[in-house]
Amino acid sequence: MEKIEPEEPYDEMADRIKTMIRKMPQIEPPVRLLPAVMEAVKAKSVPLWLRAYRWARSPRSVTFSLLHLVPAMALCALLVCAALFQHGRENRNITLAESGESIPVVLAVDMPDAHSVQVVGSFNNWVPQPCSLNKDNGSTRWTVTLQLQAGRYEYAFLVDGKHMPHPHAEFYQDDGFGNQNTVLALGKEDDI
Amino acid sequence: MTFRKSFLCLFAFVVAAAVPVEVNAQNDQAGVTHAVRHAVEEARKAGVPDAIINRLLANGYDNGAEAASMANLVGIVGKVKKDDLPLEPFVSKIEEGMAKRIPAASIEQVLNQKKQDYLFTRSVTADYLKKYGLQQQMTPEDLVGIAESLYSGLSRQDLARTVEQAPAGSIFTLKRVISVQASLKRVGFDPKLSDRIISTALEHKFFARQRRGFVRALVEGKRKGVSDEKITEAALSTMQNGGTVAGFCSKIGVSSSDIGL
Repeated sequence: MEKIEPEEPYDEMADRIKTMIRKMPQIEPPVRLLPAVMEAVKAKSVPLWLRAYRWARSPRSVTFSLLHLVPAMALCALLVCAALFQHGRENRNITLAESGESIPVVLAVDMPDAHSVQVVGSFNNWVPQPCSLNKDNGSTRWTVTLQLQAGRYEYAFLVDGKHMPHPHAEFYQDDGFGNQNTVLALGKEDDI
Repeated sequence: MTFRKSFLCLFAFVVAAAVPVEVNAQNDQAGVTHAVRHAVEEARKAGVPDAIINRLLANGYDNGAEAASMANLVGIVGKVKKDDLPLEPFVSKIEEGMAKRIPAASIEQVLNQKKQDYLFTRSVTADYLKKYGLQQQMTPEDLVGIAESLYSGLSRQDLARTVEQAPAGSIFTLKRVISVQASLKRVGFDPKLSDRIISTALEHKFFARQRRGFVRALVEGKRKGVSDEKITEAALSTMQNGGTVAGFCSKIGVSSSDIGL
């Protein structure tokens, strides 16, 4: 392969360029050059939402051991138990009054053969939920505790879906639709 | 009811209640919407609170009621308000009827009857107050308590007779007497004996809260087949000797659990 020699040695060429540079006039850079350059190269600020989005989208790997899961599972179990407990309390104690003094009323009925007993009345707009009665273990008595304000109420039990008045109530009345309701008077209503 | 139908029904209610536009009754749907809107406007004019109207419309929607039926029911509530009667028994009856899946026409019939009964009761009790020169005002609660006895066993004639024969006293006492009388009549108790029991009970305050089970024991004894005479004798003896409800129960063979104590 034929080696090509440069027409001018590198050292001479470098010297000639240095000489030319020395002979060039001294020109100061414009005053705004530096700020302009710095402005151009400055990193643009990214909105927080975009940073959060990018952070959320960026894949990452998580490592854990089964032992690490125990506190989280315990916390979940605790929350579920608390929710179930609260749900049970709501079913047994229905507070109808946002304000004012409420009177605890226990409705109890013996229904040994019933599979489900609920109560509907003017205190819950005649909608059975959440007034399901609860049957205690080994007992044939179904009970529910209501928190009611003083006044006059009508109600009926829903025994396996069938309307029936309280069998041992003091007052009854026809509902106008072919059934009977029990009448419940609370507060000064029952006091002479 | 399908979701689409439910949505249309709610939409009709909302438009009728909230949008102040003229509706031309050029087809059935428009006519129905107009009827609901008209009923709502009339009810508002009569003074029915918006909360009550909204409660009725929401209940109608929840139970899939037809808009035309709702217009009629709201219209009746407006008329009840015009007559200055308490609204709650009527609104509650609508809710009860819908929850029990009663046809709207039957609910309307019951409401109209109830309205007439309330007007009758108000007239009778006004006569009672006038007769004894009593200045007290009859509260809505008193009117409800007395009027509702017409569905607890008393006829209009019974009510008029009881009020006419009642001694001068408070409306509250009158209400209690009427409700007890209705309960006893309902179980077929001898009217003369029930009058004796009631007058003695009033004298000895045996309808007070502390003796809450007393009337229940009377009713339960009758249900168990105890004779009216025996119940009356035991009741009078208990009251006159300062006895207790438990003592009265044992005299007529009624247990505490029978009366829910």
